[in-house]
Amino acid sequence: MPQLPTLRASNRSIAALPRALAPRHGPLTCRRFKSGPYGYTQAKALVYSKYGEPADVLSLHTHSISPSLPSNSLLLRALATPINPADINQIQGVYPAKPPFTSLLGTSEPSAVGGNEGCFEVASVGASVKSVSKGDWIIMKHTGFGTWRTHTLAEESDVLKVNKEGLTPIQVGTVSVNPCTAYRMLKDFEDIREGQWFIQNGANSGVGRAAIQLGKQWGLKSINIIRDRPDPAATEAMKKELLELGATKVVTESELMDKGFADQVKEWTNGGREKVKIGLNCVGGKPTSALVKCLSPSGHLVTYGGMSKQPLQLPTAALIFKDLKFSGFWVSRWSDANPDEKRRMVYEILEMTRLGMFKDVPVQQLTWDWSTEESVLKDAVQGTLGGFRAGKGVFVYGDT
Amino acid sequence: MSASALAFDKVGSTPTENLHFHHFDPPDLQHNEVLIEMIAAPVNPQDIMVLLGRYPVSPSFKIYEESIPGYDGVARVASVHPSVLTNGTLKPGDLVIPTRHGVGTWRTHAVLPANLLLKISPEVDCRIAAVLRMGVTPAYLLLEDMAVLRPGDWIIQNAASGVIAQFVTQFAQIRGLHTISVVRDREDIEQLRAELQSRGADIVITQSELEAKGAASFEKEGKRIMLALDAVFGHSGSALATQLSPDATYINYGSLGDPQGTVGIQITQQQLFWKQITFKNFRLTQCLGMRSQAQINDMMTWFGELAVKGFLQIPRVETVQWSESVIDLIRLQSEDILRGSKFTSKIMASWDNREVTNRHLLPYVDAESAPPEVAAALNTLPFQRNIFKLLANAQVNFPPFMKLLATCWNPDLSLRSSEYQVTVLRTASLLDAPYEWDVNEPVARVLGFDTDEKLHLIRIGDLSNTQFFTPRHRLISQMVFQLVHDNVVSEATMRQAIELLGNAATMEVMMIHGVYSMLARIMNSVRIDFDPPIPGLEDKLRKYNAVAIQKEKEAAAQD
Ligand SMILES: NC(=O)c1ccc[n+]([C@@H]2O[C@H](COP(=O)([O-])OP(=O)(O)OC[C@H]3O[C@@H](n4cnc5c(N)ncnc54)[C@H](OP(=O)(O)O)[C@@H]3O)[C@@H](O)[C@H]2O)c1
Ligand SMILES: NC(=O)c1ccc[n+]([C@@H]2O[C@H](COP(=O)([O-])OP(=O)(O)OC[C@H]3O[C@@H](n4cnc5c(N)ncnc54)[C@H](OP(=O)(O)O)[C@@H]3O)[C@@H](O)[C@H]2O)c1
Repeated sequence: MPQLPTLRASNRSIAALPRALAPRHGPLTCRRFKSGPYGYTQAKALVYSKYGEPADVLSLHTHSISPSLPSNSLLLRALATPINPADINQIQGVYPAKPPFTSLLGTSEPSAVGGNEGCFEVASVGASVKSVSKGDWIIMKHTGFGTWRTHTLAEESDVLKVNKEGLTPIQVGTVSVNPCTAYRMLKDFEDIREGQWFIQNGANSGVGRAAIQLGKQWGLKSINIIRDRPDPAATEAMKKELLELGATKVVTESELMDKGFADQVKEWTNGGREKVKIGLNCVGGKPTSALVKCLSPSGHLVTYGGMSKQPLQLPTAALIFKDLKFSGFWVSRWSDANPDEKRRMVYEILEMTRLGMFKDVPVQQLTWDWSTEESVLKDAVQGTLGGFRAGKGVFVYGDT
Repeated sequence: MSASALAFDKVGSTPTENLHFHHFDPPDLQHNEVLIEMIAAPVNPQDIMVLLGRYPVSPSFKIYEESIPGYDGVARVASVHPSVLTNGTLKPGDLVIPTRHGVGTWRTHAVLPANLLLKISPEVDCRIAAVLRMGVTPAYLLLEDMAVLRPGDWIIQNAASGVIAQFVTQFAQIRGLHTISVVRDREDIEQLRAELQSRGADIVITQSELEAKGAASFEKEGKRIMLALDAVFGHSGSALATQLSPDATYINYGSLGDPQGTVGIQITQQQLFWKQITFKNFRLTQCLGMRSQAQINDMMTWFGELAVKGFLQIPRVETVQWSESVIDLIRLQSEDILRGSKFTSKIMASWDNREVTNRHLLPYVDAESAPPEVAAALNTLPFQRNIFKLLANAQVNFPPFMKLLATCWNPDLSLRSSEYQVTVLRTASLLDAPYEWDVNEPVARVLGFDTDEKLHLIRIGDLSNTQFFTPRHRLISQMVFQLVHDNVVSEATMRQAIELLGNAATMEVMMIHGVYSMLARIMNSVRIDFDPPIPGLEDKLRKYNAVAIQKEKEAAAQD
């Protein structure tokens, strides 16, 4: 693997920064949860028994969890679980990782629970559990657990404890997929150094924003592509927002497709002397071919999503004359193969978050209470498919 | 000494428009310099790119202010400056190949600094030696540098009839890897299939067969397809990518099918992000650049050893005599490549080294000192040939053999003389017997195969042109192919032959093939030398074959 880029000087003093700067949130730990007779915990989960559109196949299933925990298990209560595009693809059955359908929750048909990441609070622990205790916050070590649920049992080995000090459930609940993806893509594919550039599309996505901020921390410059909004003022606002996050340049797809854009990039990069080493692609199709043209010779396009559902067309010139490389990245596979580095990275990103160096992604919170209707939850999931959203959907659990 | 070279004064819009044939006198040797005589040099697709100004490395040497192309080839050291002898690297007689791109091999002689030449084992076949740099080396590096491969893994490659691909197959075998070789659709696919399989390809499949199979079809059979090697780009390249298994690598190393770069290849999200296939490019210069000159030299030396031990077989190439007319062949070849015409095999110019070779392993028997019966047999033909002088070592067999041999061109045969020549020339090319080709080519010329083009087609075994060749010619060619490859003519072909040729001619083809395949094997085994030019050969042949020529003319008029 290439060497990690050196951190900028300002990062060295992380420990010295006063904690007071970091956002603080009221304790969420002491709330009571719904109990059934004999101490059974009443839980709800968004499940599906066959693949299809979320609105068609999701249903809200209620079940109860026994108070006598197996010795290595934990009872968890959800605090915040996001709705990521991949979760939708998974439900549609067009995602490579397919969760097993089981009868564990007592659904009439074997089912799987939607969602792949989130922040949970430990409600109680089995006798032999050592590493976490009641009140701790955890995230799942692996994707595929099924996180859209109010409560769940998990094994000690499934979870990664995080220090909740100075963090919100949303920050913790959204750390393991998008920021980690951005982190690895900028670090593992090319030896990119301070002062060099990367270019990305989907720049306002969760991953895109994480890349902008990590890049800024690491002294990388970025060209960021967003889609033109129907309303030019909204486009300008989005540009401004990303610039404030730390983007070096923000352009729209139509500016990217402009004939003169390559010259523009040349000008920005000091006549091409500053290399554009990495391209991050979550869109595909024609605009990505235009993005590829901006990469420096021997650059690397890393694809991690296909929002436009269009394949990539590689011109001869790209591969042969510019010697570009094309790879894909998939964070679940990476995490499973690198558990220790994953933990270290999560802690590093959360520390940056505490210090205010890693801003929250805009979210559309949907409060999931015990009384929240199934249709409300399903609408939230289905809504994730539309473009131009004000923020990523996140279930925030209230009175469950 | 008459030396000659091809050189171009400027890059052209076609590869040969500025290519000229020059005679020159090699300069005197300076300190550390070596005079070499080229033995063979191929026409590679890159050479054509050089002539078009589309290759990153330009030629390093000039003659009359013009650049000398050709980056690959093999030569023999003719003489060296005394300073070279003292440091002991090269001596006259050594077999050498260039150590760098740009050396300019399309010439008969060159004076070069010794460090531009690498000595290789004298036993390496010249046709392999001549492509060590641009054929063998890329094949090896494609498997070595571009992906981690494990025994049992599969490789899928296109342009599989090409030289590089054929060496890829052979290196794959050495490393316990399997290959799926994709070739363009063609009529004589079975012949090519057999040929590539005989060099180690596990599966040979045409482009349309591959497309009909659908994506990931080999993977579904349980094969791990871990590497795609694409020299074509465009649709063919995309089709390779669809067959790759998770974590595989796709490498492009040429764009034969998309020279204008208009089509490109298509990559799906599924390939990139679910299967985590990496797409990248191969550059020979880059891979060589990661190695020291000493490492490169050791690698080439090892390739030579592999060739000598028989691990690397001679690829399908067509050898032509070096002369002014190679320009025409290069033009045809490059037009084919640029136009994407099918089924060209690499041409390799070879230099006539008659005065230097004297490698025969058995003595040449002289008519004057031989017993009378042997001497008489030696004079069967109106001119001397080395092959007869060698055969005469078997004093008892030789005289009756010559009688048998003479029956092959007996005008009373039911086989026509042009058919006899197809039998002989196909035997010579399939058994790779240049001497046999060389002595029979003039005969073929007087018997109706009177143009370079016709001979070229016979040499590569493409007898599909109905203007030049009859159905009988094609059938005979097929019989010879089966005899060489399978040791047996298939029953279906036999039945066809009996129908089309008749009983007598069918048997005659097989007997003539028997005689000439024996001769081919003997010639190659005893390391026969080419004959010195025979003055007035054509006239002699016309006179000697007058009856046959007349019959052939009459027959042709009837067709
Ligand atoms: N490979 C991995 O390991 C991995 C990890 C994380 C995420 N991902 C993938 O990364 C992508 C982004 O995920 P996220 O969670 O960061 O998403 P997100 O925050 O929900 O943002 C979605 C992004 O996609 C853009 N978009 C939506 N439809 C589009 C279209 N038709 N054409 C072009 N852009 C479109 C949106 O742009 P607008 O604002 O213009 O609508 C927005 O920037 C998804 O494809 C996801 O599956 C992959
Ligand atoms: N990247 C590098 O550093 C590097 C280094 C060396 C060579 N190369 C490239 O490697 C390629 C192969 O070189 P080589 O020396 O092996 O060539 P070669 O021996 O001349 O063979 C070329 C082969 O390609 C096939 N072919 C030609 N045009 C085609 C088309 N339009 N579609 C499909 N197949 C086609 C021919 O097959 P048929 O039998 O069907 O005619 C032939 O077998 C060339 O493109 C060359 O430029 C690249």
